[in-house]
Amino acid sequence: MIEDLPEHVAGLRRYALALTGSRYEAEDLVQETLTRAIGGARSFRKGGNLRGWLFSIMHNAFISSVRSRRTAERELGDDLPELRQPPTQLDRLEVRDVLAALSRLPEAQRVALVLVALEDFSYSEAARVLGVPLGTLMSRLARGREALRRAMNEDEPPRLHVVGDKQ
Amino acid sequence: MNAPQIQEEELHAFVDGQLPKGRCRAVLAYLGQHPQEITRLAAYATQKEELRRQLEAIEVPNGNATTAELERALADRLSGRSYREWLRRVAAIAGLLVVGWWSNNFYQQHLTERLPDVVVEAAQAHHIFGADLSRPVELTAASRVDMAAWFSDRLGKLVEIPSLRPAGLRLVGGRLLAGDDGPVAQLIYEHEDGYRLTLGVSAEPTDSGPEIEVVTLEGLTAGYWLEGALTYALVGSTSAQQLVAIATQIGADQPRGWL
Repeated sequence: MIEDLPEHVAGLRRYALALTGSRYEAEDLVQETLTRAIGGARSFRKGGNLRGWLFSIMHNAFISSVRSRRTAERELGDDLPELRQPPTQLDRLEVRDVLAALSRLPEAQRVALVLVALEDFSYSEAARVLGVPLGTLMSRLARGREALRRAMNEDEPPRLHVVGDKQ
Repeated sequence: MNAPQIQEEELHAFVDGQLPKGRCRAVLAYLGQHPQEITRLAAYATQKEELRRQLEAIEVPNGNATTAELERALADRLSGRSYREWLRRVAAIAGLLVVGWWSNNFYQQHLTERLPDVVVEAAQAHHIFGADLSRPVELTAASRVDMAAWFSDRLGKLVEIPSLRPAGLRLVGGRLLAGDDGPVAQLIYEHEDGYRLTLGVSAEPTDSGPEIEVVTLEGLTAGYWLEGALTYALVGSTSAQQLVAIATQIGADQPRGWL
C-alpha cells in the first residue's frame, strides 16, 4: 500500500545502513533506489508487494554500486585511496558488538540476516529480494547466524570454571 | 520413541516464528531431547533481538529534503495523482485552521474551491529545489533579462522577474516546471538570513482574484493571487504576515479583512 511508503523508506534506510555501514552512503543508496523506483514505477503491479519490490531495487542498486566501485578501484589503482576502503564497516558508525561482528560477515550472509532479523521478511520474500533460491537463503542465514554466535562468544570474557568440586 | 527428524532450517524458522503450525510440536520434542540446541537457538534469538536493537538505535537522519521529495515523487507515480489530491485536501484543512486562528472570513469563501495548480506546483517545487540550499538552480540569476525573456516565451505571456531587494531577498535563480495545467515558472529567492522563498508564476486561468489568499501546505505557507494574466504563488516556511508583506511588494493586494 502506498500509505506505507514512509515506513518502507525507513526500512530501506536501515537496510542501506547495514549494507553500506555509512550514513552518507546509505542516504545515497536510498535516493538511488527511489530514483530507480520512480523510473520503473510502471513495472510495479498494483496491489503487489511494494516493500519487496523496493528492497529488490535497493539490492540491485547496491550490487551495481559495489561493482562500479570495484571497477573504479581496479582502474584507478592507488590514485583514489578513499575508494579502497571496504564499503561495509559498521564500526564507522561507532557501534560495537553484534554490529561490528555483522560487518565482518560475508555480504551475502549479512544481507540475509538483516532482512530476516530487522525487517521481518519471510524467508521466501527475502529470497525473492536477493534473487536466490530459498535453500540458498536458508544456508546463508544459518551460516551467518552461526558465525555471528561464534564471534560473539569470542568477545565474551572467559568464564571462570568451578574446577575444585571434584577434588 | 524415535528422535523426531528436524531440519536445520526448521530450527531457524522456529526462532523467526516462521515454522508451519504443524511442525511446532516436533521441534519442541526435538529440543527436549537436545538441550544444547536450546542454548544455540537462544543465542540466535538474542542475536536477532540485539541486531534489531542496535540497528534501530543508529540515529538515522531522515531530514534529507531530496529523499523526501523522491519519496513524494514515487508516491505520486505509484498512485497516479493521489498525492496531489491529498495535498489539496491538506490545504483545505489547513485553511480551516487558519480561519479559526484569525477569524477572518476572507479565507472561508475559497476553502471549497480548487486550489490553483500553480500553488501545488510551487509548493512541491519548493520542497524539491527551494528548501535545499545545496541544490543548484537551473537558471542562474546572472541574467534577469534573459530569464524573463525565456519565461515569457514559455508561458506565452510577459513575465517580469520581481526584485525583492527591499525585503532583503536576493534572486538566486529559476527553473521551468511542467505543471498539470501548463508550465510554471519558478523563481527562488534567498534571504540574508539564509531561508528561501519560491515564487511560482503561471499563465493558466484560475479563479483567483487580485487579493492574496493564504493557505498552509505541509508546514509551508503559500499565498496566491492573480495579477493581469498571471497567477502568482509565493511559498516559504515563514509566517503568513511576513508572506503577505512580501507578496504585496510583488503586486498582490492586501487580503480583504486584513488588519
